[in-house]
Amino acid sequence: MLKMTRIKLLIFVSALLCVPFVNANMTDALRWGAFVSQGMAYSSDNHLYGDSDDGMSTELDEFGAWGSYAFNPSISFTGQVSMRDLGALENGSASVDYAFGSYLFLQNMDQVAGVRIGRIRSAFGLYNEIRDAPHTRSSIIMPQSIYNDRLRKTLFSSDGIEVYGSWQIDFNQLSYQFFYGESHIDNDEIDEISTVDIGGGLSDVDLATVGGDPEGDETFIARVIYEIDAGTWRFGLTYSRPKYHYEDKTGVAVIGGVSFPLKDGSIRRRAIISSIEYNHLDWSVSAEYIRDTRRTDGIFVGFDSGNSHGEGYYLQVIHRPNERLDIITRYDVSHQDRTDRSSPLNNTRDFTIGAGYRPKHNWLIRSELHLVQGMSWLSTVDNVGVNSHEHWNAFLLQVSYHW
Amino acid sequence: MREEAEIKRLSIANVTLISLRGILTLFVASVLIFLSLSPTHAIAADVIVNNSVSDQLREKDLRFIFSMKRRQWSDGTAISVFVLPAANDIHKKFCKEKLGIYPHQLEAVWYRLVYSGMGKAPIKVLSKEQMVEMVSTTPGAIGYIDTYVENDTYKIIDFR
Repeated sequence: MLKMTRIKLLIFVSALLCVPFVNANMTDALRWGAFVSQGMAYSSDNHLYGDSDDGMSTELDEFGAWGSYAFNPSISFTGQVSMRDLGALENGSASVDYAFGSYLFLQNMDQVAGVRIGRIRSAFGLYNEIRDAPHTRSSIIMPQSIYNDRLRKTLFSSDGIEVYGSWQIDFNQLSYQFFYGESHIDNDEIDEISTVDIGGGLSDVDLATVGGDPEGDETFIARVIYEIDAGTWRFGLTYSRPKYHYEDKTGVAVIGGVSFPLKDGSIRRRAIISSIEYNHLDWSVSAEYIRDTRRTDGIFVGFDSGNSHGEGYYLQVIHRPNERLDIITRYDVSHQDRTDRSSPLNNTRDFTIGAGYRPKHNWLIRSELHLVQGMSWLSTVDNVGVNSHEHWNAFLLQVSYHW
Repeated sequence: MREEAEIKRLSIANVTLISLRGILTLFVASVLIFLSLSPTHAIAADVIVNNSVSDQLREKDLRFIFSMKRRQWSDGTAISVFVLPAANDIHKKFCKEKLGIYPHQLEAVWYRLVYSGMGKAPIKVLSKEQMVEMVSTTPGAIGYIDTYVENDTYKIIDFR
């Protein structure tokens, strides 16, 4: 049975009904779009987006609508609301993905520069901004070494101010974004990002059961992308430094079944990503490499600070034999801790093959097969009390529609 | 006995050869049929601009303009880019021959721009008649059509 709440269904249907009217009224100043998808996941072992272990989980659906209004060529407002069900990671409640006002203070033949304020999608790697809608991303599951779904909320957007722009140099383009503000985080994500090395490692830390109050703190993100020959080659460099603090209330974490007292504390993450993409006719090849450091101060009584140095990379090849079909092959590697490259709790290797088919322009059917070794990016909250397996496979199928 | 076996072997080889030749012929024929049926084959895609545009365009400029990276003409007028729907044959022809990319790759570039908030997608028109109308009436407009009719509101760009 499709797991769609009544409210979701209502919005979905009313959106469908609105389509002819809104499309007719869409002007150059007002732009909008929407997407809806339903997916299913089967896994040989472990849970991926719901109870998928040897069964079919349908807790993989999303609905989103975005709109943009330009008051004049320099001032505009853009926003998106969405509802997602991603196993236990997201429960289908509505949230504002981003909502910002932007002002272009420089526009000429070679340069554009502006500033935006509000909830802004984070410039993180090459694809973070297009990861949320099925028709814009390359696969159902993004490469988890960089675009970890366990940290989706905190990676996706942050509240603050960003200076952005682009500069044309002949047929090449340099674009840049510098963000300063505050990130978001919730109990599940604090759980995923906190590092404390006690026996079972961080995957066994379960803060979600306690009523603490995690909050985003000072965050800085910078990204530069250089494109050659109108996007034939794209090179990117990202620096991201979010900070979070945890205000303790009830003071207990369950680690490997044992309760540990908690206290106030903070977590800092510093990540650097280098990215490359090559496009030629019906081929696209991309690779990204991330190195990150996470430092936990306080939080766990008796473990004053913990450092974790992670690393990850992927290589992805997309071939489009015709305009309706794309075939994707990817090898994605994540090391949560560079000093431990063997334990399945800290490492994952994921070989993916998949295909996307567009029977009509607005419809997309995607399926993919993941051959996985390791559990480091598996959602902890989906796998509480589950007998984990190092070697597992997953099959996913998703149907989506966009306006 | 040996001769019989040899004849049998040869005839099997012959049958195999014939059936292989048959499959190859069928495959080549089907490819030729697909190619001849392909509606985009006979269609032209010529670039048109509003008469107000005086820039000398090179074919390389097109990919830059249609991927929405250049926003202004050299006189400061905003570039208004008009495109036909992705499934339109003239659009497919234009993308493949003039830009050298597939329609949905171009769309991916627009998505990236729109979803990052760094820019906007071109304006979609529903028919070539609407394309002509919009390019004729919008200063700084650029688009494409399959057949050009002499007029004084828009002009064709000759890349030769």
